[in-house]
Amino acid sequence: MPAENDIGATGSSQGEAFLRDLLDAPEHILYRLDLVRGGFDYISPIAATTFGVSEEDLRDHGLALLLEKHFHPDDVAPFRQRVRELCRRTPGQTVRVALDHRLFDRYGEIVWYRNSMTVVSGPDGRPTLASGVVVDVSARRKSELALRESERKYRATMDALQVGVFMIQDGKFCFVNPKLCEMFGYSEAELLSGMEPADTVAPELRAITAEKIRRRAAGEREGPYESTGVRKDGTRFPIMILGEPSELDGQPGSVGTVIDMSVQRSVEQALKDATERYSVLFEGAHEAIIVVDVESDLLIDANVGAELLFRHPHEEMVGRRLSGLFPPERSEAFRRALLERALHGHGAPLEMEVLTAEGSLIAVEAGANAMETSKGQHLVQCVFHDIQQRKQAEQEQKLAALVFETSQESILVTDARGNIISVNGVCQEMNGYSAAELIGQTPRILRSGRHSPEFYAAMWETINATGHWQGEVWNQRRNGEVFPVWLRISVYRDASGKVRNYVGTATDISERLAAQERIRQLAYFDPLTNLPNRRMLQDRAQQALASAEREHKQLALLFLDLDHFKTINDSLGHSAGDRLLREVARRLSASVRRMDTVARLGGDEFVVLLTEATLEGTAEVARKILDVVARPYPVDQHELGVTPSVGISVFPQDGTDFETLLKHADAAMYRAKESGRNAYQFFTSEMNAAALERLTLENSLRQGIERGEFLLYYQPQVEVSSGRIVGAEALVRWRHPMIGMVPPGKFIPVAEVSGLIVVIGDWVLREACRQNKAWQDEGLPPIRIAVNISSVQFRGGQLEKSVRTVLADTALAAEWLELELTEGIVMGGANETIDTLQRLSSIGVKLAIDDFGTGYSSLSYLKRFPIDKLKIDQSFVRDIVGDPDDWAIATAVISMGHSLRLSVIAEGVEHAEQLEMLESQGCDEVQGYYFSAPLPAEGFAELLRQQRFLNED
Amino acid sequence: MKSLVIGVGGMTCQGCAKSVGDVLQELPGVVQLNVSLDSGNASVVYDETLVEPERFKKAIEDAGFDAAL
Repeated sequence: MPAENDIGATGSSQGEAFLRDLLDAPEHILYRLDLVRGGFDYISPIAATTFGVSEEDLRDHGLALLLEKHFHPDDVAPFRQRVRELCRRTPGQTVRVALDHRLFDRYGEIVWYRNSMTVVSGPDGRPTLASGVVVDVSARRKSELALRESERKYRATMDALQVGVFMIQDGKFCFVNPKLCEMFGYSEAELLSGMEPADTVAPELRAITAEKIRRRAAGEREGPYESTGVRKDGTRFPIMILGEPSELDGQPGSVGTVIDMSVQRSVEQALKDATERYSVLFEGAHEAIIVVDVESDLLIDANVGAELLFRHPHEEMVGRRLSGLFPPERSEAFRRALLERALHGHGAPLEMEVLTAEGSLIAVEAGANAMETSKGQHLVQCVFHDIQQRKQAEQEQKLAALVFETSQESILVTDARGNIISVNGVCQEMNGYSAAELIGQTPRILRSGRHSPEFYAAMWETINATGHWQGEVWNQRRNGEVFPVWLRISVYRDASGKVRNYVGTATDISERLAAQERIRQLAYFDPLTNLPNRRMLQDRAQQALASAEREHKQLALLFLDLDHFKTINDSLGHSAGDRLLREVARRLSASVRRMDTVARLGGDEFVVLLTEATLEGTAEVARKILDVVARPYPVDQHELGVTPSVGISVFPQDGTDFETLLKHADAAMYRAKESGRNAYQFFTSEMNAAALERLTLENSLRQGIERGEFLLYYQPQVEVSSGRIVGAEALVRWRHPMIGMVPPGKFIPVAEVSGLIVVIGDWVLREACRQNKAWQDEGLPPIRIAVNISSVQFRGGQLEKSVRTVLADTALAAEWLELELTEGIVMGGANETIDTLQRLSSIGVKLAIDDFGTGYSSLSYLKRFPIDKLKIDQSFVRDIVGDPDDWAIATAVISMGHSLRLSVIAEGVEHAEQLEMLESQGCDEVQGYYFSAPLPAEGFAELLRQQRFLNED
Repeated sequence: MKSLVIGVGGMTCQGCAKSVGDVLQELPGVVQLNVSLDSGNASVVYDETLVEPERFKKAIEDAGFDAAL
């Protein structure tokens, strides 16, 4: 037990026992602590029990033990500090102090101790010894804390109360809470410094208020009442007061509360605001909202959205039956679905259709909520969301998918990076790839390699700049086949403008391009010979001219026309003529370089364009052309001969544009023809004059016909055996009033080209017959009158009619009319021609073949015609004396004619030798200057008269 | 090949631009085209041996727009 100590060691035994009792009393702990050593010199034994430590430990190092293990950590530092501070302030003295601190007992429970302590310090201010008594004050401390807590709570409650609280005693405030102070704008002190409650109400209410307070103090109770408060600043505000009598400290008084009614009012305002906000929501909602009274099934409210959706004005919406909002056949089902939803709460929106005032149906999503009013009315609020557009969009999407698959165009869709994400059936078919093969690839898989990288770069540039591109593109099918498509590419961007997709649609345009190629062929090539036509020639000539001009080079245009080609067409038919033309085309093409162009202008006209041509080179080409074209053509077992005439114009001296060069080459070609055919001729400036003259001539010719400027000359045809005039050839002459006599060689070709020959020919026929009849009527010996018939007249189909009419009109007997036809007309071969000639022959008209030997008469063919006479062309007669060939031809014609029982006449007889030789071969008749030049009618009549007299002599 | 920009008047929407594009595309020899609503013109690349610019003008006018070559 306790060790011996100073205290216990002193005193009497009675006093010792008392001291022992005191020391051992469990209510307190006495101690004496050596602060230098840190151990207790003495401590009540109860301490060891209380803290669960040994007495030895306390004695040896009790201070550290208690401070470290049992002191509440928060109390250690203040304790030490306090002790040190005291000792430092009064060094060498003894000080007393009472400190409360918490210690943990052996059970870890906190126990409050009051430590009444005496501390002794050394001269240096360091504490050396402490002694005192420690009492457990936990219980007292707890009740103190509880009271303090209770007060705090009370105070907090009062402070926090949103109502004013007051206590009144002796008619004055004796307590007010902060809210009341705040409410009236006074400080607590002001209110409690003797203010009467009546001072805080409106002056007119003070008397009543004072009376109420008195009555309350007397124990009267009263319900709450409204009053008007006045703040310190004089402003008024509505208040509600509730007071109760109460005894305070045994004195009668009252307690009560004050409510600031303006706050209450603002609550009402807030409710009103909320209602308005609801109303704004209700009215402003995009959705249609209706409120239905469940019991009556009638609408009691509808918002603007509902008016817009249902197209009924508000007043018509209210009072309408809910089921009336739907199409009749489904209205009950929809109504029930809505009520069901309202009762059982959430779920996916209901899809239904509503019926508008206009009778149309609109798809909606609907929701419903049940409500109950304070009066117990059951309401359902239904919300309808118009999804018509979404429905339409869905339908459009379906439609788009249908269009995508059934489109006649190939459709290919890529993502923004150009990877194929979708293709339709046509796309797969067209390109020969399956969808699986295409998806994930880029459209480059379809490239044919026909376009340059620059082409694609430009294409993408356009797409990115404008969002679109369209054009012709050559793609390659899976099987390697390259084909053209018309491709349209569009960019699809999302709402933010970011590229989402590229969509390419393509149509196979192979057929279209083939058709274009045919058009090009027709437009630019002559279908007969496949040579370029005039238009193509023009294009090429213009390009060649531009280049020749740039490079200071010459180029030449050769205009080529086949001499007497018309005769071939007339005599052998068009198909033979066509074959001949094709062969000419082939020979011409073979005669020039690749860079040159051979074109056919039409008919028998060809043009050769020589680029980079010298004059010598051009002449050489012209000679070569004359040579190859003039070689015989085997056509239908015939060897045809045809000669060309070539006119040449040269850039730049003869013209600098295509039209001029062509015109000048044409003029040169005419000159070549005039100079004896099968020749070429360079253009000279005089030729322009010649061309102009031709044009003028044609105009004059028309005028000449109108003015009757034509007349006939007659050249006698003499029977060789008798020397008598047996006929005359009527030869047309034109007496131009300004120029004088125009030779037939000059105007007949113009008349033939212009078609005027028909009019002139008719006139000649009529005049010759009229004249012949006049001579007969005069009593002159009757002769045959020979009239030349042009092929143009024959083609008109009017010849037979003209002849009959003229014979009838002039009353000339048919046997005195002879028609001179060219070989071309006869050999032209149509049955129609044979028929016409047969009929003319049958009425007695004589038929002669003019210029025999120059054309292409087939002798066997000749037999089929009712020909009476052959006329040997003057070109053979001219050289009959010197040229054995011509002599042979003349001889052959005479003998052949005779063997066919035809009479033969030779024209162009100018010398006696010619006459002798023809006579020696038995030629029947002759005509020529040797006998007489063509004479006017009067002169010829004179010859006939002389002959009559001669014969009579 | 030649290219040409034709001023097109009277286009008010993409539909108009498409109509103009369609009529031009129908013409022979047109290998590439771009109709711009913003700039009010149509640029055409074409084979001049197959089509004359006058036909573009006529086609656009027949479709109800104005055209200036």
